[in-house]
Amino acid sequence: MSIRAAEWLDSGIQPEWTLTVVAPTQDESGDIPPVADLDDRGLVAACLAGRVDAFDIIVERHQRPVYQLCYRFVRTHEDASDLSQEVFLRAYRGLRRFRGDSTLSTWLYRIGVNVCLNRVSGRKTQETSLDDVPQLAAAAGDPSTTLIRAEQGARVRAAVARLPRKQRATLILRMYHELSHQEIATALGTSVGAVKANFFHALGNLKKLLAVEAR
Amino acid sequence: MRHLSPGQLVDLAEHAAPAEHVAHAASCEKCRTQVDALRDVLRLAASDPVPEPSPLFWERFSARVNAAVRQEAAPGAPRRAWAWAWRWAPIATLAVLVLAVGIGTSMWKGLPRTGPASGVPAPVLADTDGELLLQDDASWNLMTALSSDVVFDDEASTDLASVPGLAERALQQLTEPERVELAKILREEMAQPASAGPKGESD
Repeated sequence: MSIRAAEWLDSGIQPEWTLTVVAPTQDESGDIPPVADLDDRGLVAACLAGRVDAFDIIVERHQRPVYQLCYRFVRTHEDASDLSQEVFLRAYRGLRRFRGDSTLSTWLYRIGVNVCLNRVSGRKTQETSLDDVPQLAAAAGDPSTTLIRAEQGARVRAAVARLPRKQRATLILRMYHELSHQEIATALGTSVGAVKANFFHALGNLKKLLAVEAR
Repeated sequence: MRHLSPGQLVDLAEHAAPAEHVAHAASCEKCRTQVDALRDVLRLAASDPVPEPSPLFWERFSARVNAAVRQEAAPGAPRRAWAWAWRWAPIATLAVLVLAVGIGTSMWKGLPRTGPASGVPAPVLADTDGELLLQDDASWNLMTALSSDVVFDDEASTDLASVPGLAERALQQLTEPERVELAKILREEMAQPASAGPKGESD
């Protein structure tokens, strides 16, 4: 049933109920919901509406994976910290360009990969020889399993650092951030087929680098 | 036999391949070897966690980013769209100055000269600050241009100028009856009493 308000006014009929229009950013009580309750898209919208505190929540939610991504590229805490800040600042400046075609985390990964690749391309890449990494304990009965894993991890990181740019980015996003091939394709601006091919070659090269070291 | 592509091998290594590719790998030693090698590397690389920073790091990091963000313009502010224009401001200012000087010079050259037509140099006078020159004054230039064509007799007849000796020269040009008449008028004027005052003045 549809009744026009003008008809009520003309006939003098008063409705027994009141229609209250609530803005989308307000809950039923009329209060603006706390930004912490918003999802990523809501946070972006709130931020674009002038609520800077919404971006604080974005940082809080995504700082750990962004930092880990940067650390995979530069392998030092200080550089990873600086790059992570740069990623968030660039995200803030370009927030209007986030159209929501991908998730916010994928968009942040895209920015992160660009920032990190620019950094490692802009300066002489820290060429860590695999020989500089502490030798993997050969004895299977070595009591210090933790130490073995640490050594192994360091050797893998050194090998990953020697991969070509695209292969490196693909392997990091797939192995350590568990992005789907489609998400990686979105983040790197390429196709799913190219992502899989890059991943295949990255694993092959990694195997060769680690095999050379093992001899 | 056609072997699996790199993408299909990756799917197999990640256990995401269709059944037909799994069947192929089961019967193809080359593809199976490649898949096994990929899985070995995946296992090896997966055992490399990123060192966890200090627990205090995240709080400090958030505070640092938040402070930096608050020094930025709002992401939706339209001013950002024109921020690039400020980079060109000095060049634009310089271009306007060069243009203004160029136009002003060409207009100055195109103006008709208003100086003396007879070649009489205009007086070069300056005000107290020594900046304002009379030769730049259009009225003065007009007056000097007109007066350059006026002869002495015309100046005297219109009382435009008073030259020393002019009265003596005029007396010499009078005839004898005119001089007698003039002398008579002067004697009458001088004979009048000083207290009488000029005619027409009254209390």
